[in-house]
Amino acid sequence: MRRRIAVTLLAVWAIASLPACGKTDAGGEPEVQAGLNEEGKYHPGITIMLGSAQDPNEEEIAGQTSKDNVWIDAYRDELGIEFDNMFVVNPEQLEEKLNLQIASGQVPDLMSVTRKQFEMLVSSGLAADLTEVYEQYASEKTKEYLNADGGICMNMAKSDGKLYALPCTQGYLESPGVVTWIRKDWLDNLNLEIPQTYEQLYEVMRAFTYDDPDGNGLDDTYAVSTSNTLDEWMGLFASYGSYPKSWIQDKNGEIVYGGVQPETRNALEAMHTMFEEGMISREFGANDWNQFIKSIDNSNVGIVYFAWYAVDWPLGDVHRESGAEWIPLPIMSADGGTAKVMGAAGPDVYYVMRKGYEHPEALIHMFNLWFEKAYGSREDMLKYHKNEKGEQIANFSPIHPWLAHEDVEYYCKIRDSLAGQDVGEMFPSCQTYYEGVQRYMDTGNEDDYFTYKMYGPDSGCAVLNEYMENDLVLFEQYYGSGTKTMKEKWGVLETKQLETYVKIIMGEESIEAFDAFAEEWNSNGGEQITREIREAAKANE
Amino acid sequence: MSKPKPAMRKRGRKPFSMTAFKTQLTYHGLMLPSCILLILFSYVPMFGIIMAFQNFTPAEGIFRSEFVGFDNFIRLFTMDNIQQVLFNTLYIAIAKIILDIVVPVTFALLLNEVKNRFFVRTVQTIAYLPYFLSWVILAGVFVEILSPSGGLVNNILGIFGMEPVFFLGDKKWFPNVMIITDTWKNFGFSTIVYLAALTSVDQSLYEAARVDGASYMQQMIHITLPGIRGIVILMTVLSIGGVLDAGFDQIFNMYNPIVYETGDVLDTFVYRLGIKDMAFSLSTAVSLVKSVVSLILILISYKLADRFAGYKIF
Amino acid sequence: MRVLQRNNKKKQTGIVHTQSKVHVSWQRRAFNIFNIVFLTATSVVCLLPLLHILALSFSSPFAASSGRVGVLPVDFTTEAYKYVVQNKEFWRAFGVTLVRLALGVPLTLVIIFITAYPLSKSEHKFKGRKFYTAFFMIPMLFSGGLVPEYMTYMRYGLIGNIWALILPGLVPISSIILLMNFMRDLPPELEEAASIDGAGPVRCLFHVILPLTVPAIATVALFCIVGHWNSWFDGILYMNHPEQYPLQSYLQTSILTYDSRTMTQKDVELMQTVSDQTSRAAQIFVATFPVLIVYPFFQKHFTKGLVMGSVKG
Repeated sequence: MRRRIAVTLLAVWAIASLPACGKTDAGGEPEVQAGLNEEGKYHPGITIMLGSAQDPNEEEIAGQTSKDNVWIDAYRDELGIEFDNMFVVNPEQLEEKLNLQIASGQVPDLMSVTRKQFEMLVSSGLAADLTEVYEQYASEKTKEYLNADGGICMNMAKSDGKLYALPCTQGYLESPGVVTWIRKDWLDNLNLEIPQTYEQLYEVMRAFTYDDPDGNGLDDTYAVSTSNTLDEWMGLFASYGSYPKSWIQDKNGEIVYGGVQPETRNALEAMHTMFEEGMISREFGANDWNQFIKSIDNSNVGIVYFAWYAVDWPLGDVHRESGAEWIPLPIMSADGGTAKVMGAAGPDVYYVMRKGYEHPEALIHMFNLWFEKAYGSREDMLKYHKNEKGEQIANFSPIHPWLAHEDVEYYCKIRDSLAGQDVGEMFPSCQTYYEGVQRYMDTGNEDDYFTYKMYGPDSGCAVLNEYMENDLVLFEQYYGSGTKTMKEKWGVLETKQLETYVKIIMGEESIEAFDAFAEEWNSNGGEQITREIREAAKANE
Repeated sequence: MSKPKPAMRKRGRKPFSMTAFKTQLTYHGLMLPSCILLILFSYVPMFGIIMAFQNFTPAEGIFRSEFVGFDNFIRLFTMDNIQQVLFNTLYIAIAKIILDIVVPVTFALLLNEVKNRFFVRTVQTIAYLPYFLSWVILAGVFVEILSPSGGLVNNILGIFGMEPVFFLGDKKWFPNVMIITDTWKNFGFSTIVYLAALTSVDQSLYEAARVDGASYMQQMIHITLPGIRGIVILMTVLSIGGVLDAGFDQIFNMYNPIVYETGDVLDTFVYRLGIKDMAFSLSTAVSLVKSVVSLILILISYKLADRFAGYKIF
Repeated sequence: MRVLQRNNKKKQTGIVHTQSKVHVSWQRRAFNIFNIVFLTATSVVCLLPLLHILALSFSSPFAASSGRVGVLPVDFTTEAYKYVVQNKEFWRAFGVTLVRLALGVPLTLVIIFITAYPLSKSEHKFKGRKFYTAFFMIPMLFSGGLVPEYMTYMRYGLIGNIWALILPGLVPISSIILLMNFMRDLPPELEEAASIDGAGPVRCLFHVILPLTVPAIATVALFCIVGHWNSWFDGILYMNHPEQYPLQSYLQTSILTYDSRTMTQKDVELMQTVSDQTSRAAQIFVATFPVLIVYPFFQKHFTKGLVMGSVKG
């Protein structure tokens, strides 16, 4: 009796599971057939199922919403591609929701995924092989732009030599922690000069902590803060020559993990001193990203380490609301001069097509259209990429790979042009920024404020340019998807690392805890991982 | 329950009776909807447990994923942080169980001494009000009042010249805050049960004791406490099955990475492992181990309940 | 019923007795005073967090952020509530929760009621009860876990459907046990009399048992309402659009995660009068309010039902 029930239940499960199995298999090798008519358009049109994230209180940008915008029109009118949503969730839930769908084997046709999800999709056979369609359909421009970073991103989208995704390309200096952003209005309140060296910066930090820089009579300010991942302190670590989350080359040219190097020990010791002096937010260890941002919005913190474009987001709010004035500075080395910064390699996001979807090549066509519009004529660029107000219309597109380092180039041209040099014909977006910068310099027009801060003289891009010109960029020595031991142990090692760091900084443990951690790190898999990474690097050469 | 069986029952036990058969049929019929629902929503998903013995790959599904025997369990027990997670779970859960006995019993005893019924009613109502609020709401409340910058509790501490404490961001505090807030939320509810037990203690015993000149303390020790011993044992025993449930809703809504070391419990761990890290098989293995341990504990505790309190579930 | 009446009588005699007592020692008096003070203080501690939130919601953002608000509003204002009233997402989620209650609660109560009845019979009267007992116990102990449940509900086509929030919870086993225990304690004579009069079990159930079990049903109804009102995880997990979120899921994503990116220009203007902190407090309070309202209606039966169901008289 009992057995029969079990068998029946099993059958129910089997029937219930069937549709999914059928769906993934039925397609088999999808017919590679473009289906585009003479105008380069799908006829009849096709629909691509997406899984999207949407803020509950979404903001209209340039009169457009995620449901109605120029990109939807463009993909529909020019390619015959329409989109439908399999699900829409809050941005925080997107990853988890997609993971559940992946587990169920029912995924949207086009997905923007993280590295982990990318690997899962590839290993479980849910990702379409794009190798052929890429070769066949990608335009010259697409190929050129996707490889503008030297092919790092494209390589990471491959597995066993096959292309399973198109990467959301970006430059290698986009990560937080490469630019020091300082509250200029606070400096002015306290009659302080813009710091040029780390020592001066340190004095500024003191002043920001003790001298009531916002003048509200409350002791509610401190110099620096971060979210609990410490990602926004990579700049502060870099001041001490420490790159705690990266694989770097030591003096002998060997690959080592930055998190256990003596430089990191020094950095932590210094941070502990700063914490003791009250220069660091008491709550940094528990701040999630939102709380960290909140402390900025509330004018509690005067120095942050962010990406070059941070002045717009996330620093823009406090500028608009409280008139905060942020200026970008390079990371200063505690030993004097400018510090070397870590170039982040690889994309944060991968675009994957579901295996079995009839039109995997649609993604390639979308990329072609994207680059054509977003990096096309001046008119298109204003319409599709970023308008005069600096609003990112580009974000409405389901895909938005960026041209690596375009911004630094723009900066150089704008700088040269302002200096009266002939720079030839400018790229349309560059031209727009140039005009914005000029307008701002002439009139101080608020609309052009962010453009000026990002592309003008003394802008975020100027800082990046300084690193690039002076050869101050270090590169990740390992950017693969994780070695064997790494996959098993890395999570634990990472957690332990973060914990130890926070404890040391907050003084819960003495600096000696670092040595114990380093030893433990090595014996718990770190040494093995290092070996594997060195081998992988040798194999790559 | 040992009620005297009425004679009627015996008479109903005839060799075969159409009415009795129909009655039986009706009973089974009444059970049918819930059974169907249980099969669909509890039993069918249970086949997912098979994943614990597989290297589950989504596209293959449960029927074609590779079987790996007990590999996942071996991996599970060799994971570095599993001991810590287990310890946290036990620490928080056991402390909650103890406090959820001690506090309500004490509270009920004190409340029982008050003769003003309106007062008793009011206090009782207020005390079990928090029981009905969700942890989403309460997490919002506690994040607010426990904040180190301007939170109510730290403002009060400040009055006494104490340094602000970051209750939800401090590893030492976090598990204890979980225990205290959980007790705060739930004690009023258990108080009802104990208070009811107290009011049903035979009053003539007190009268007799007073005639003998027993003090209030003596009355409490010799009459009150023995009177509610049964129910206290029962409630304790019944909560043993929950020793591995440290409260997902509560902790999930209040914790953050900085307190994982002391605040991460089995349920939150399984959640992150399964849904965030996509270690589907491994997380199922953890759940299964948890279920088995809970099962054993519950069977033991029901046996104990039967023996010490004469209470049979079902 | 009988048992309850007995209990009440006991209580009354107890009270009468103590009132008649004349001499009270000073230690006793001191204890009584201490006791009253202590109990009052505990009640205050229970209420304090909620009062504080209430006070915050009626305070100006500046007073709130500077930590001057205790249990009374500072710079009284109702702006935060005006903000909540205008918040479309909040009310949509509120509506989803109401639909959920309207569908879920009656269905669950029917299931609990008809399931508890046969189970309250002894094995002798209801053949196969043992089997059912085991059948109901297993789901209490084992579950497939989140991922298999999600996969199964997906196959049923429930993902993104409000029934995914209702169907899986239709058989709350602990409530069934509670009602079952309550039914067991009913005097069997009534039902037997009815069946002699020719009433079948179904008529018995609805005409004889139902009126007698009102306190227990009210109790499980309260649990059911509160359960549906408070659950948030399933909404986040099983719904496909934020518009489908019930209130607590909406609050979980909006209150517990602050995101400056979601601030619109309009919000920025509002910042002068409403802050994140005060609007959050107002939302918390509005979401709590219905439970506070519904609770007194059930309270009368609640204690009775709970005590009778879990502790056998």
